[in-house]
Amino acid sequence: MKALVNDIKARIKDPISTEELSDLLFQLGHENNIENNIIDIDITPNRGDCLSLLGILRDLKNFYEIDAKYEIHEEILDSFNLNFFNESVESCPNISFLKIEIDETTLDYKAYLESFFSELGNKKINFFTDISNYLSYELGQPTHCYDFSKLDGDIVLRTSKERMQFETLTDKEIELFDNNLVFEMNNKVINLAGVMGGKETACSDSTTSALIECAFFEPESIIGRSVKYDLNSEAAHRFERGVDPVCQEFVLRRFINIVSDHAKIKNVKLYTQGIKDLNEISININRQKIEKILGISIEEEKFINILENLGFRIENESIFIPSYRNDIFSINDIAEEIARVIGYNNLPSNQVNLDKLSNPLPSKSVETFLRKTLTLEGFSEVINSPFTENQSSDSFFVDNPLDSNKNSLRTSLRESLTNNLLYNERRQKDSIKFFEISDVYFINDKKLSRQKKLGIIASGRVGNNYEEFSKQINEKYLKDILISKLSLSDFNIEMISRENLDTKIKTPIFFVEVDLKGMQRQEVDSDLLKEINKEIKYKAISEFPTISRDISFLIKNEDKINIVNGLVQEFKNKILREQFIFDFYKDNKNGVTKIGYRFIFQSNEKTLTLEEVDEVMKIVIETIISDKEIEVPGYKI
Amino acid sequence: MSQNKKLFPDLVKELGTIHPITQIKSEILTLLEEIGFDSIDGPEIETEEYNFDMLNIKKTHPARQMHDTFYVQNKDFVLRTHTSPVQIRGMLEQKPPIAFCSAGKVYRKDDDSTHLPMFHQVEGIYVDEDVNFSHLKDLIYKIVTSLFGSKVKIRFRPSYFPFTEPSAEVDILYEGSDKWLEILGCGIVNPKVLENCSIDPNKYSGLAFGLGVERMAMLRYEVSDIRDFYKSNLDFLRQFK
Repeated sequence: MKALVNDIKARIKDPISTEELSDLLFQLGHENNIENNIIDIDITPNRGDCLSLLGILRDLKNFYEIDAKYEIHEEILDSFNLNFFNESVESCPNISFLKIEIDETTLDYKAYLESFFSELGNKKINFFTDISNYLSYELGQPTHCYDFSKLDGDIVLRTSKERMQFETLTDKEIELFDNNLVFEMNNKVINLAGVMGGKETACSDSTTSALIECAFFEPESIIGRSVKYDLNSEAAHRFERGVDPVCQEFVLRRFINIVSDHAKIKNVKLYTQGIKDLNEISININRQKIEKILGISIEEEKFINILENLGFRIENESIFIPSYRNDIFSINDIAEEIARVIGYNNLPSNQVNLDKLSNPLPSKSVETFLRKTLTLEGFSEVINSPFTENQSSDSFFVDNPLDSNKNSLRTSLRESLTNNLLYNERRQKDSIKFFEISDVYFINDKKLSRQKKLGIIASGRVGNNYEEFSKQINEKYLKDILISKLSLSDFNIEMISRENLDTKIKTPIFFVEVDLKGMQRQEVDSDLLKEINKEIKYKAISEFPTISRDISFLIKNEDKINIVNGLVQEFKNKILREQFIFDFYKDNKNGVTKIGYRFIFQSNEKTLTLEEVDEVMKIVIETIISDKEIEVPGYKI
Repeated sequence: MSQNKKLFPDLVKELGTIHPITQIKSEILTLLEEIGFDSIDGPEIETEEYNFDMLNIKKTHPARQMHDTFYVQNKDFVLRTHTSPVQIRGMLEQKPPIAFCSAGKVYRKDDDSTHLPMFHQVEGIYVDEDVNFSHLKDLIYKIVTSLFGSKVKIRFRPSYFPFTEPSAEVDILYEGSDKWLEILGCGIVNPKVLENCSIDPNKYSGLAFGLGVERMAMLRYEVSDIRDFYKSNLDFLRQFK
């Protein structure tokens, strides 16, 4: 909720800095952000009572002397007859109406009201609606204003299950469906209760006679409606979280007071129906229990003080909960109240010892063994979402998928891994080796069945070094890893056909999937694995195409091999992504060594031109062949 | 062939990458196991009973709406929205004193640069006689210091979760920064949840905490778009080793 810092400060009697206020609200559990005298407070869903100036001020009473009294119309109010029928008392136990008639409307507001619009950025709509919106900000209770002259029938409040058309006061036409709590007149919806009123009976600039409705709606009858009909409603936000069930008359009297600040009231009357006395809820005082929950000791006087300042009434051995606190049920809730006021950061911390519970350090799982072994072989792990468009007879379906095409849950890792492979092929990768370890779910005889699977996919070169560069991944390569490295015997390597895949690449794709059930863990040679570097900072990757260049050096003096290699590996350039030896051949007979390097170029900003790449290559080559014992066949300076 | 080893350039065999999310997940689980938590595991397809009811999340809670939760098989099941139902299963099987941790995929109907329909959580629960808020604080200090280093400042503030009461959210502040970052939620297990698992709340109390793995990974590695973790781009994955 957004509020003017000055609206809060004005009611705190002691001087308080904005920073102090912000920190204190954080301590109380109200995350906030202050900018230009506007505080945006993130109220947790259990604290609907704090969605107003009054609510915030009530929470601050343990720290400052606060004036939380708002002037109301104190005089006795006459009642009037309204043909109102509440057919949904369970959803709306308490409701009051105010009939108010003024001489003329104004948009020239007093400072407190004006600032709600000009400083807090709310839009003026019309006189009565403006007061209603402001009041909601001030006291947290939404009210709805009907133009009295537009009401020409009985008003019925009921829970409707029919499909009905409704035009909101924001000119939006919606079709109501399922359960809705609605106000009807002449069999037409005039107000979607607690969410938004209708256009037909709404107030306008010229309205001088209004009917103000002030009700308590059970959150259950409001929840989800504003989302369902895509309506932006402050009122629904408040009703969903729960408003004070017994504040109607007070709020309407405040309404009168604000009206009287701006216009001459010709006539005002109150209609109330079936205001139930709320059963005051109480909890037994159990200070020891609270001390036990928080791990502190607290004096009784301080304890009582904190609660009374928060509006709780302490009587005999009971704590009576104020009507606006619908989030307090148990002694744990009271403990949280005490803790908030003391400050979580000021509560002690005591060493906890779980040693007595622990088994000797648990053994690393099969999964860890698989991950480490496969990464040593150059395979990278991927994680995929389970949603797929490919449905099989035993797959689960999602009732409300994000993407209506992908409404099934995968039963195999094959499709996801194939997509991962193609994605990287499109980015010019020619040695792709992936694995994934994931649960998959099946319906088995109407029951849920769960399997943990390892999927491996590979295609292209075995690796990017001079021993592996010219070798293509084949069935034997994968089979050797599965048998000798993973000690698997029961598996089926599949060659995935490229026929139906959107690709022009021809290298065969090999895929294997195994159930991890019953797999035994084995030791990994831990010396081979470096600790993962925690200091890594991610560098954004480029989506522009790469260009690669191969170059071979003939070295006549073998002492120069490492010099050449050093020069190449250390060469850096903004557009050079990587370089590696893809070919190494020592011709002993002729006494020459041939080293082939691949250079891969890519820019973060654009598609590179061949000229740009050649320019860099020229520097590399000419630096190296300045030595007479090294040459690039066919290349002349 | 007679080859002089010294003259040969090193044969560089490129290692693969363990997914950064797995790395962080394992790191947290290992830490919790060292403290004394037992790692347990549960299904990603859950019933509403375990995912919501047992955790004191009422039928009317916004999280249960179709626009927040994936429902499965004509609402017979849900895709779990948090790893907490695993704790419920643990508590139904074993009686206190107990300390469980679990990690895994969870699902919510979100999709933007900071939220995904699938993400990972790690959480822990400890139930024993006389477990209180001061123990929770101690434990959180241990976890946060281990994950983010001893130089970060830690702040606790009240929050709301149906399954803990009191509830807290924990923020950290890096040295030299002025922006607090939210990193985990925790609290004292709501007595109703213990009761739901047939654990006497008058005798036992518990602490619980949970954190989002992607969020931690994004903070540590400075990844700004959560979707990057799941594109399976080799250029991305290669950076995390």
